[in-house]
Amino acid sequence: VQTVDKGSAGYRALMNMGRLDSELEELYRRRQGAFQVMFASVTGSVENARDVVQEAFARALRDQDGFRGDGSLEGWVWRIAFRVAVGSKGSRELSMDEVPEVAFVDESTDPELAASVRHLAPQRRVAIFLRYFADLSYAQIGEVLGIAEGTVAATLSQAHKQLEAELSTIEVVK
Amino acid sequence: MSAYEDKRLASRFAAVAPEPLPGDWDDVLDKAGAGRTGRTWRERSRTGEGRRRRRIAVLAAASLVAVVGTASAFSTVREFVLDRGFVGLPPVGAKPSAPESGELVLHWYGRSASHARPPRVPLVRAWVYADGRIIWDREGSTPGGANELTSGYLEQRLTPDGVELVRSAVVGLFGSTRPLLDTVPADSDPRGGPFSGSVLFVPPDSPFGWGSVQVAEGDRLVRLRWDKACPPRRLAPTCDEGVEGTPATPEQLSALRRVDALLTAPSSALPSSAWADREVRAFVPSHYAVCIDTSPPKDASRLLSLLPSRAADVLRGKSRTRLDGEVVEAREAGRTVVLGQSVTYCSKLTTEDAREVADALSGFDRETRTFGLAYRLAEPVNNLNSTKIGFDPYLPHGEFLLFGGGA
Repeated sequence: VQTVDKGSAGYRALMNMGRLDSELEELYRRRQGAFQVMFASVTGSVENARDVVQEAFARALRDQDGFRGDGSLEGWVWRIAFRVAVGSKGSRELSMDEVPEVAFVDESTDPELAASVRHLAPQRRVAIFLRYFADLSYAQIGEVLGIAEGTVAATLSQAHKQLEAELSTIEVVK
Repeated sequence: MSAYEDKRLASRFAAVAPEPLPGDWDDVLDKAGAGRTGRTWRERSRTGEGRRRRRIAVLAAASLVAVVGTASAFSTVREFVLDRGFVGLPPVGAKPSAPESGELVLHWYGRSASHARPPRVPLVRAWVYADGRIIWDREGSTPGGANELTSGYLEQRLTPDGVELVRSAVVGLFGSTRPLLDTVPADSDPRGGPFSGSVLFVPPDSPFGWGSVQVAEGDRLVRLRWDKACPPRRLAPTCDEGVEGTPATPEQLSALRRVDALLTAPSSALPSSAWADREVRAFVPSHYAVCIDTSPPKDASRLLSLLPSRAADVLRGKSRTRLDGEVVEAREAGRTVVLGQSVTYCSKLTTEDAREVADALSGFDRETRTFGLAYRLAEPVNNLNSTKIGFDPYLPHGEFLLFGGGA
């Protein structure tokens, strides 16, 4: 019987080494669409978003040792992607100062929603986009933005209240 | 905001979300390759120039059968040979070892004197097949291995003469240890079972640890087991005082050392003529045993309810084998208390189905008390085993090592 202490370097190595290539490929195949939609709102086009997402996954492949296993693999790749999107070459962690402005690529589809979203504070807007474009849970949003899940819940609650007040309906506008 | 309203807002966002573009994983690999250092990409370079051509072929096919749709055209997976071991499931597209089935000739399971670096004597498991494959894994850091803890299952290929050379060395060892041999059915419990008979005692200060070597004879396995002799009247963690045995003679030790070298260090111990392909590759199985282990026993349907529906749906349609574990007892205030019994349900799945199950479990904690890929489904009862699900490769002779042999 081989027992490895969880939290030890050996455990992390066992979990990480030789496995991330396939896990990253699977994550990419499964979630690249959500990544693209999110980063289209950062870069202004889906074409640019695709480049950001591919570069983020390429960096993740190259720097697998940077994944410490104390969060999810997807959360780690999201943080890399944000750094790529804002052109950061800095620390491994995403700074809140680096969270970019996000906006709809095509505001004409739903001008009312676009206007309401524009009125949100930047952090609330990013949280809303991560929630509805990236389909992330509160915990995952917290992981990506480096804030507590409770803070995410509070941020989204405030954003929801603001949106509800401004939107005539939260139904899909036909 | 209620969950209902949350959903309605989500649908409003979905309506304005831009349509993502097709994204080819090969483009990610190209970007990674440009700056990737310190790692080899031989699995890519082997497919080499053909890759671009194949992409063109995929795109051409997509234009010809446009009705199939873009998604399916882009989901074509390259097949490649893995030159590095792995733990768990292979990367998508890794070429399975062929043929799928193989006739087992020899099996080594034990500490390797050839790789001993006292106090570390690594555990090695090796299987030799009539078709020439030698599949093995080794504890610790190994060139081409999965990580610093294990090599993962690796594969090389012997010539028929190479197989016979190794087999004859084991038969020679058996010839000098005949009273110590025991015979078991080849299809014995994959978790292994208690040894019977005596063992060959190796000196406590020798580089050998414990181990066994088995030779297939029809539907039986003939095996020799060895262990460290216990120093008189002294408890030592390296020996089992309950084991009966016969001290090894210098000739027996020499024969054992030879077998150890041939089976645990074949690359250096075997001559060039013994090799059909000395290059080490990952052993990529075609099937996995997906097993759920729990204590106390529960019905399979109850265990499946612990899984995400996506995983349960895959397993529900598969046949299952039930393996009952031993009853675990404890002495408590002078009386014996039955703590429980473990039960294990195993299904044989294709790698693709196993991956589908594993994907659905990605949110679960990894089970650390196993040597392969396993997830914890529920906490232990009475400090016995946790309820866990594992993914273990089927070897060519149809056996698998439950939870990597470390359950």
